[in-house]
Amino acid sequence: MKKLRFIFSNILFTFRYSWKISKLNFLLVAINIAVSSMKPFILLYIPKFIIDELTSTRRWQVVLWQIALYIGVLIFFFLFDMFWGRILERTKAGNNVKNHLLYANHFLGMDYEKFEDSTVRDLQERVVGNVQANNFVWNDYYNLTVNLLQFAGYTYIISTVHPLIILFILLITALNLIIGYRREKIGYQYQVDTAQYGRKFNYLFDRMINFEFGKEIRINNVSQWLRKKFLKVLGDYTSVYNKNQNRHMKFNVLSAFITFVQTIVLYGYCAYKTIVGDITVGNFSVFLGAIHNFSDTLRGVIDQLEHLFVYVTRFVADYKQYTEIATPRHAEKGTVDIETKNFKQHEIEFVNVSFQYPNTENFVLKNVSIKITQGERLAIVGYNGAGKTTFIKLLCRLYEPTEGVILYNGIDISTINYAQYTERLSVVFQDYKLFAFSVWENITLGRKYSEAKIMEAIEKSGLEAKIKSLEKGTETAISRDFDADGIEFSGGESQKLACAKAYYKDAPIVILDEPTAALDPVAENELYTRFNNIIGEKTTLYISHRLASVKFCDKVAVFADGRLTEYGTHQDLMQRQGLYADMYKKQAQFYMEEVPV
Amino acid sequence: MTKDKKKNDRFRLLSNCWFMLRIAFSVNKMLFFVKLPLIILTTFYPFLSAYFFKNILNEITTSGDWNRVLWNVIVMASVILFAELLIGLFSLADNKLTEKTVHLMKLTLGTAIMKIPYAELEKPEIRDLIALAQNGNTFLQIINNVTLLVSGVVKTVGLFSLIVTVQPFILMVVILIFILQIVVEKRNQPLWTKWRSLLAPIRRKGDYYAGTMKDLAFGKEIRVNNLQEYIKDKYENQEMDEYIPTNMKRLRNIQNRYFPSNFSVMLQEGIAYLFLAYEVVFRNMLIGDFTFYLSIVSGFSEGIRAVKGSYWLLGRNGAFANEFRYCIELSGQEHGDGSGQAVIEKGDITIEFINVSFKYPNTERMILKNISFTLLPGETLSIVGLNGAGKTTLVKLLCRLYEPTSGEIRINHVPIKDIKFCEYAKLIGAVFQDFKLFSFSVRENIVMENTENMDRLRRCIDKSGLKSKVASLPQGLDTMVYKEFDENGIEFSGGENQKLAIARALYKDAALIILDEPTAALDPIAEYEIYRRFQELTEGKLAIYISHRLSSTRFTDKIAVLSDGRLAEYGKHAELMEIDNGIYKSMFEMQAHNYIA
Repeated sequence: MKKLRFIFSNILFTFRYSWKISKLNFLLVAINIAVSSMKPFILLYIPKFIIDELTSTRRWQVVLWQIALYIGVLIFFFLFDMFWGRILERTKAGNNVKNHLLYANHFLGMDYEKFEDSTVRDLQERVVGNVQANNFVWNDYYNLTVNLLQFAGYTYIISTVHPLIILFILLITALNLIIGYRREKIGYQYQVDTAQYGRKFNYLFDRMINFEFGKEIRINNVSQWLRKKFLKVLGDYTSVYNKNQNRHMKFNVLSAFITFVQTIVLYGYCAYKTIVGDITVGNFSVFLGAIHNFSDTLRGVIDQLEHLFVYVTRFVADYKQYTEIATPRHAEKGTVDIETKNFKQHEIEFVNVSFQYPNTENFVLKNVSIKITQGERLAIVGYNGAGKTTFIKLLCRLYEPTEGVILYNGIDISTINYAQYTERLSVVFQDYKLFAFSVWENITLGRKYSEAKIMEAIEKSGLEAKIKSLEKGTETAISRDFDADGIEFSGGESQKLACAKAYYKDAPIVILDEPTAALDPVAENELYTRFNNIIGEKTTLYISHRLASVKFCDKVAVFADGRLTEYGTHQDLMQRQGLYADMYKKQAQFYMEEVPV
Repeated sequence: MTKDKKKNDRFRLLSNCWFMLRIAFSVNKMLFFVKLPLIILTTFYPFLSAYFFKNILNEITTSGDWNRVLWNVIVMASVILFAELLIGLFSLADNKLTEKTVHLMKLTLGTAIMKIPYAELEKPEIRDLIALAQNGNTFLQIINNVTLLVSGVVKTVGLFSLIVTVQPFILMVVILIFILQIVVEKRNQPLWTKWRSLLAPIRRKGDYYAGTMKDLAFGKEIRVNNLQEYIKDKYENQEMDEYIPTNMKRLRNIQNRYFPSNFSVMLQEGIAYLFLAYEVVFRNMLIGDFTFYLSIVSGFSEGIRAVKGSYWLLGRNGAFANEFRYCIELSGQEHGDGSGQAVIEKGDITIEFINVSFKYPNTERMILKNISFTLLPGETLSIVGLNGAGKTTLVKLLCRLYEPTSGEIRINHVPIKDIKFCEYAKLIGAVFQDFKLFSFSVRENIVMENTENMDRLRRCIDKSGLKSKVASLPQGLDTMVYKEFDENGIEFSGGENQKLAIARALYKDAALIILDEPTAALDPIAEYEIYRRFQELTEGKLAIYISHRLSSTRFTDKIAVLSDGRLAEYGKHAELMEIDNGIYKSMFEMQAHNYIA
């Protein structure tokens, strides 16, 4: 009983959800249901009259009218499908957009650490990617209702022959359903068992044909090896596949015998009734048509119900779980208004900050305390995985500290209005992203437009020459995806554009994450120059991988294993002869005159 | 496109499909001996029951003899049972064989692609083929298309012969309607391409916006720059103002243009009724025959539609068939092996570049211009230069992934193109800049096609700095890399991946080692370790080292400086530093300048 109520509330939920998206749709679907349900009956009955006429009085005039009526009806349904198809298409498309925008609110509003979490993303895929589920009202309920109405109609027709016939057909259908159900179960298990093969085949095949693997394959003579692997997987897969096919065959044989019995009983009985004169020849064909479709519609009803119950339950549960997770927790805490404060200085302080990803054991940052004063440039160094990027993400309020607090001018940043806070940060991430728009759009990104400022940003980031060389100047799209006149910007040029964007925002705190791609000496030098340009006098945090860059920073913070282990100026740390000094010497010594052995 | 070309294309298409079928046949002969009977059975099965039903109806309306009618019913049910069992059996075999054949075809294609010269992989036809092949079941589609085509032909011919003696007029009507369909189809052919090329970029743009909202890296940018409303607006405007109106226009346009042919197909049924009713009323055709011929007429037009439809579908898959053949034939040739006779003894080798120039096929720019140098046994060489100077291209030529446009490369005074490719590949151990690992065990990734030798394996792991990592893995050398084949597989870090690739190159124990930016992802300490052991790593072999970081040049015997495709400077470090305004000197100083306080 409880389960039924649960299912009911889930179904109600889907209706409310669809109602929220579009009320008009319910009306449209209702009309479609009405027409679709009637169609098979009309198309069954008109031929009946024709056949009756042909087997009794054979009046040509009458037959002509009947056929004309039939053609008329065909034309009606044809036109209806055509125009209705357009209306449905239009509404479906509009609803899809609305639906997607509702989901977008979650994507964009969710706390970032959840957004990154792979289990959340999997859940997200299940919910969002479930296109079918997002169209409940238009597909599943529609099909169910149509099938139900048709089922009722056929039942009525058949019952006029003899009510026992219905029982007989129900018996046959029940047998078929049991067979079908068992087949489904095995089929589902089969899917689960063989999913791995599909993955393996795809993997192996992709490696064979993928351009990126071409060099390795040829230089290392890998082809025979891959071929052998493929054949082995094929052998395993075929034996599972064949076994499954054999099982199916058994079901098919059973079904065939059931059909045999069914045919003899039904055709025999109806034929007898016709001979005896209880029903006309026309009705004979109608009944056979109804019998033929009866079990199909019944099966349709049961399939739909089962499908809906299982599906709705699972989908609604996933959906509810997803929206719960996606509720923004961090941003809503931000209530303090800092616009009115008119801050002239911008200082950051981390106070005993520790951070651990949700559902993990490990603390990625442990007890980090550091203060960055106005105008100071801080270099952050350390090995991969030491916590540098996490440190930055916390400052950007993409995460919230598990312990400790981060202060901006003495205020806990998690309490500051989110939009206002982020306005204070100009960030160039290591994996920065540019949009496939024009140069100027990527620089301004919806902010107030100022031609002079755009030009300044371009100059400071070293893009002047490139822009001058473009025919459309700053109107040029930076990719060819949506604009044939677009120019593909190289990696280096894109990085410059990302810097221009950061410059344009003109925020008081600058955060730069050095690209690790191998740059040649000239490009490397340019990079440092342009970073210097966009930083100006602002408070800056700079994540560095190549220690040479610390030349233009004031202080260095060294992270190791999540802790801030060393902190001071370059000279201080070199004197300390700790981790930093070791790393620096190792990178620098090759540029000395004597080569160490 | 001229008429002749179109004819040629169609011819080519058919001959290539035939080629593909021949390959399928050679891969699995039984398939065809099962498919043909199955096609015939399934095509005529529905008409079998229609035939016996006709007899039942006729009996009922003429003799009214219950015994004879019952007999007819039993015969019909038995024949259906028998046919179903037979079809079931053949289907069983067909499914098994088809599944196996499709996979073997994939393997054949994959193997062929692995054999064709690397330079071919970049050609657009091959890239298209690869995209199509990756996109799913093209082989299965083609087999199904051909099956549909053959079955359509069988149906059409069979039913034609049945009805031509009885009702030639109906046949004429059906054929006329079919011709109308073809005419409409031809006139509408450009429609599809027109709308596809109009709609595809609009759809792509919409998908792009949707994608940025879900993407992780964009997620950071959007939050930190407050772009939530901005991007949602872009998406909504794109969909509502561009995509939906255009799609609706397309739908209306296509529906209208196809109206005449769709309408007439629908009318066909009415016309058939008319003709056959006439026969019944005026020519005393039996009612059983009436229903029977009705079903034959619709079967006939279905058959024609199937032929047309599958032919059209085949045309769509035609590109695939063409490129498939191209690949298979290409892989059969030995590529650029010249005499293929030369053999290089294992041991010391010398390498000569003699006036080598190179440009990529179908491009203007010379990437390498007149490069000449010699490497003596056991020498090590650094290749340096700015991005785009030609370093990686030089390596690709040395690996025989491409052939020089002019000039020659020799090993031990033998032109490398005279050596059999697979023999040549054994001479080289390479770590490419974009090296790839396979989703197999650590051990397999290192050993690959070579014979396994535990000592050698351990030594290479040690030398590349992986010893402690491997020791820390619970499954040690049997740990799977990546997760495709094993959920317990490990995603190694970028640095560890690189060490694995180095171990692989070392294991091969080749005469020439090539390292292209092998330390780009390594932290300073690990990089230092690689440099320190460089002599050990290369152990008296010929080694070529490419890097942006000039610090590597301190370890090699010679340095080659590439500038704009030319070998600008060549010699030892000390010599190159003597050159006034030298390229090497200025690059070195630029990098060193950042380190020396």
